[in-house]
Amino acid sequence: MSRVITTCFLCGVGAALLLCILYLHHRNVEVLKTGEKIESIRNVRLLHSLANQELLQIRYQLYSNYDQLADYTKQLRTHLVIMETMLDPIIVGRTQEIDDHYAILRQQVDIKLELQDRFKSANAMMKNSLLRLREIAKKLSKYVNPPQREILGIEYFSQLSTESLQYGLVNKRHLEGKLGQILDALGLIKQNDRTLNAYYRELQQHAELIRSRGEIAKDSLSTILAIPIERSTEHLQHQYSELHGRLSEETNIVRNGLYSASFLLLLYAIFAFIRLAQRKQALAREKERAQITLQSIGDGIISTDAHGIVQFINPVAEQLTKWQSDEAKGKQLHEIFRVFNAITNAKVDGIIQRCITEKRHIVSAGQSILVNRANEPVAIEDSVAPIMDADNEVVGTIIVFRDVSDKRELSQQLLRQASHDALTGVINRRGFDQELVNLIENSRHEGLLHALLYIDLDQFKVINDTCGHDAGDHLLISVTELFQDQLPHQSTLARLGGDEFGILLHNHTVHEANVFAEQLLSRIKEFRFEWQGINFQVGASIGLASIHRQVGNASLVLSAADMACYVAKDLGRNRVHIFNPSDRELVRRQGEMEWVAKLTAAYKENRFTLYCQAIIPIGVNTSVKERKHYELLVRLRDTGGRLVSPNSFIPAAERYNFMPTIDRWVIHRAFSQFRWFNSENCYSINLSGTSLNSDTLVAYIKEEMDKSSLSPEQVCFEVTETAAIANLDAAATMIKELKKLGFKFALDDFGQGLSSYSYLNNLPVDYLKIDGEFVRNVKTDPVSFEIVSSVNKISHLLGMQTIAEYVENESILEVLREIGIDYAQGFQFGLPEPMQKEASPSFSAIHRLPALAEPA
Amino acid sequence: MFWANLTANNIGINTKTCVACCVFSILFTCLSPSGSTATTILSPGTFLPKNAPPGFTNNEPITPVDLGATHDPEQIALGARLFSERRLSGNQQLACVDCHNFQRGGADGKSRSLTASGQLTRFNTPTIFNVTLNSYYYWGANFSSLDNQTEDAVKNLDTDWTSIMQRLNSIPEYRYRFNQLFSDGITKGNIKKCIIAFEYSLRTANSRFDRYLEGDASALDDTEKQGYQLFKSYGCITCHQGRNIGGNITLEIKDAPYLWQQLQHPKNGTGAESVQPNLKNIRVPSLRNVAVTGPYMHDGSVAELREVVAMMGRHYTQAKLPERDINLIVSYLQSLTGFYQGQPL
Repeated sequence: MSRVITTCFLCGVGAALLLCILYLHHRNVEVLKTGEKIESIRNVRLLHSLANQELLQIRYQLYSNYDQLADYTKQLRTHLVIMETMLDPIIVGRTQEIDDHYAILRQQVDIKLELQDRFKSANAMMKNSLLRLREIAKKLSKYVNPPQREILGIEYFSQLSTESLQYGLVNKRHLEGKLGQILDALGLIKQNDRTLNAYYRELQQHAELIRSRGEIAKDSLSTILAIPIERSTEHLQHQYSELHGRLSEETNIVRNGLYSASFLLLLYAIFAFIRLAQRKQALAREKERAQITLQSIGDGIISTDAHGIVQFINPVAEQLTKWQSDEAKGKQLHEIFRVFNAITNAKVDGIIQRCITEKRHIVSAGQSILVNRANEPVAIEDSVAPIMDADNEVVGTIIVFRDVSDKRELSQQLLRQASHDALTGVINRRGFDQELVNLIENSRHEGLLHALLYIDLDQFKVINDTCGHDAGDHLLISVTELFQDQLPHQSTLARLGGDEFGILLHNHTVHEANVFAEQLLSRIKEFRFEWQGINFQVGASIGLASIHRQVGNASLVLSAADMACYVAKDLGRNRVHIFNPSDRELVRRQGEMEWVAKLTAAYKENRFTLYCQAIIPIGVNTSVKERKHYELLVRLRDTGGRLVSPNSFIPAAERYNFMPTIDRWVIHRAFSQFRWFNSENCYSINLSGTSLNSDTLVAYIKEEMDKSSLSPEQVCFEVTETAAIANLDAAATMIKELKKLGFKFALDDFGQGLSSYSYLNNLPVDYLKIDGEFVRNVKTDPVSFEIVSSVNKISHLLGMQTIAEYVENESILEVLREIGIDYAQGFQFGLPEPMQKEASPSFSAIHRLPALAEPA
Repeated sequence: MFWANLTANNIGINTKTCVACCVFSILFTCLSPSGSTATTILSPGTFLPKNAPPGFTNNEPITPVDLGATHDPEQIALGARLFSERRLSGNQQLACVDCHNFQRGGADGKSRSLTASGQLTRFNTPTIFNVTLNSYYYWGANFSSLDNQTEDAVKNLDTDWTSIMQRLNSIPEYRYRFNQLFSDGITKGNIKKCIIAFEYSLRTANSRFDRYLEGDASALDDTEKQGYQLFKSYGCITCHQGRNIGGNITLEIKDAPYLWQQLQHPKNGTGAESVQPNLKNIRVPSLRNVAVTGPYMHDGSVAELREVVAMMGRHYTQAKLPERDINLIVSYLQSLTGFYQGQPL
């Protein structure tokens, strides 16, 4: 629209200026004509006076030449012709006065020229007679004899006539008088002399001519000289000058206006040129940037015009469609971009038409499959957006699509992972629960009997602790294979925990199940696990629970089997125990009594101790390396002084609400024993989920901090992701309060919960500790790698730093460095070591053997 | 590329607009008529002959003829062509050149000429040579400019300007030549312009008397010199003076006794019937080439030059001239014959 307005405006200005020019031109012609006329008037006056001078000269010359006068007259006539055009109607502002004055002048000039002719005629005749007079005088003086000559006074006359002719007839009256006398005397003496008579007649006639023509000449001349042509021309000139001045002034105003307008227009043009150049430059820049963006963007992009003809295709789109840019250009979109619905297999068409008619951004609804030029299917996500022009008309479309094959695979894998165990490939606890629920339902509806086996490997911990995780993993895999060999038709095997498996036997009575369990047990007993040349015998405790119509819910069945397994273990391992309702009480009492008593005693006897494990900066960020990090870990010694695995007592402590006590002990211990700490370093303290709900913990920490000279920046609290999510509000509140005091915060075991990142916005933590399970497999498992790297990316985006646990060897470290993890922790850098000085090297060496996994 | 489409719409100004602006502004600046300084102030000298003869108290009252070639040769050539173009006349058989014959001193040697309509002219045809040196045209001094005279002269061809222009337009040669010379092609003004330009070129310079005036004393023999002195002393010089030896002065009819007598006492066959009662003045004719432009007088009634001299002498001196003086004056008059295009007339 602005273009139309600009064009109209410019046309208007142009037309106005052209009109101005025409007006000015018209006016200028008038000014010029007026000027010309003034000039002619001036010339008429000049020629008039020159002609007058010439007339006087002619009058006093004996031999007259009228050429000069004729020339002046001719020029005068020419100027009169020019002045005639004064009456041209083009002259605006010509007044009646001017016309009148011109008429008067014209009349005067006409009279003058007529009189001039008259003068010339008379003058010529008179001069002729004068010349004759002299000749006759000469002849007479020769002819008459001396006495007669005396009488006639001819000599005197001759002299006089010659002089007067030569000096311009000043004494004409005298001459006439003399002529009269001579004629009188001649009349007296002529008598009968014929010659004298002839002379007498001749003289008489010439005298008459001199008198009469002289009179005419004189009168004409004086009349000519009296004609007031000078005054008339002055009047006329004055009036034309005024008109000329007025016209010039008006013209000048218009002209100056026109010049200003032209100048402004020129300025505008220059300004427009500059702006255009700038815009062109900006446009080129923008285009360049857009091109580069399009070239480097990770998504495939195809642009079409309003008819669906491909105009542009970027490299990613080339790669996905297998069409080259030059080949694709000009083709119909559906030739290049063949899309099918992944579910219905129907061809997806008309998305462009929809986009154009609806004028909106359309994201393809289903899962799209792009069939490229090589007829290979590629899973994509695509969307179409219209390109609008200034008038809101669709001039083209942009199709954006990306290869989501990996993503779909990943999501399928994640889905699988959620129900399957990563290590052994059998289903996990969650999947097992689902199966169990199904089976219970089945039993309830159809009245069939099923059985649940809960298997706990007896030697697993020993092998795991003495030979390392790898050995433990291999053991688990081998055992799984063994189980799978034995499984009857229609049964489900699951790994329920570290060394715990569950088997669902379909359509098995308790007895049948028991037979199978015994069989399995004997197979396990026969099984030899070999690791680095050493044979290990493996045993198992199996709890058996029946699934029948009255069994209740899944957790009851599961806990029944669990308890049966516990009883089997309690009874001396390597056996099958069928659940008996009395087992329940037994387990409850024993477990509670045992752990509550143990923990209380340990606390009282001060058998808790602090270990620490280094967290090493591995990131590229140098500032990270300034401070050394340590994680403080709590350990329990039994009455014999041996360390108890944290995996044993911490779940118990959590179960029996002993964790807040332990947390506070750690906090107290850490703050009061700061003298062992290096003030340069940073120390992490774990907080349990239950502590998060404590109203008094923050106050306690503050109290302890005040007593100590440890600065809050040196302390980082860790809370597990699952605990934080379970108590999101409380966790957020606590994190904010502690951060306000200056403490740092870390989110532990991140990734285990497989939960959304979105809540991270509510938890302003400083560090994310990526779950060790992912880190351990980062090198071998692409899913773990993806998870680690995406967690890293996201935490960096949120301004958090990442810590990787379970870094067991150099190759994992390499991968982590590659991903860009900031800190690493694990065997590669050192085991947890006692904080106290009294902890001797031998002591720590001994205690390296037990399970030293990070606290849960 | 769609980027261009995308962004071009957002730009209100484009190259065309810019160029239009520039062209406009430059155009306006150029087209604007210049200021009042353009008014031409003509100096008085522009109109006055620069080589105006000084007062001739000590000079001869007759001056030599100059060639006066100041006109465009192309126009002169076209004028010459028109001058001899018979197709322009009513009967398509008469041209200007038929009466103004260059072989006959620029006239036709007849007392009165025959017009295209078959009638006799009112007066004797005067010579066309040196016509532009005259101040008056026709015997009756009816016109003071050649423009007006030419306007009138076509009547003798029994035609008018409209038909002349139609004739010329029908002849490709004239169409072409006029279009070459004039932007407006064949017009009355352009035709007259060409003919007048040609007439300006009809000068007869280099007569013996002119050479004498220019300082060559041997150009005239003694009789001729005596003749010139008599020409002056008898008073002929008072009328026959100037560069054309006449032609720049008129006499009132009563001062022209021959004509006056005819008017008073009309006689058959003398052309008196052509002298209208309203004739007030008569032009003094030029005497250049007078020896070859007979017969003489306004009606061509006098065939011999010496007769004219005798008659003039009788009329203006009131006495009979001696035979010797007449012979001397005639011999002087014969020295006035000039050259046209290198040839004596």
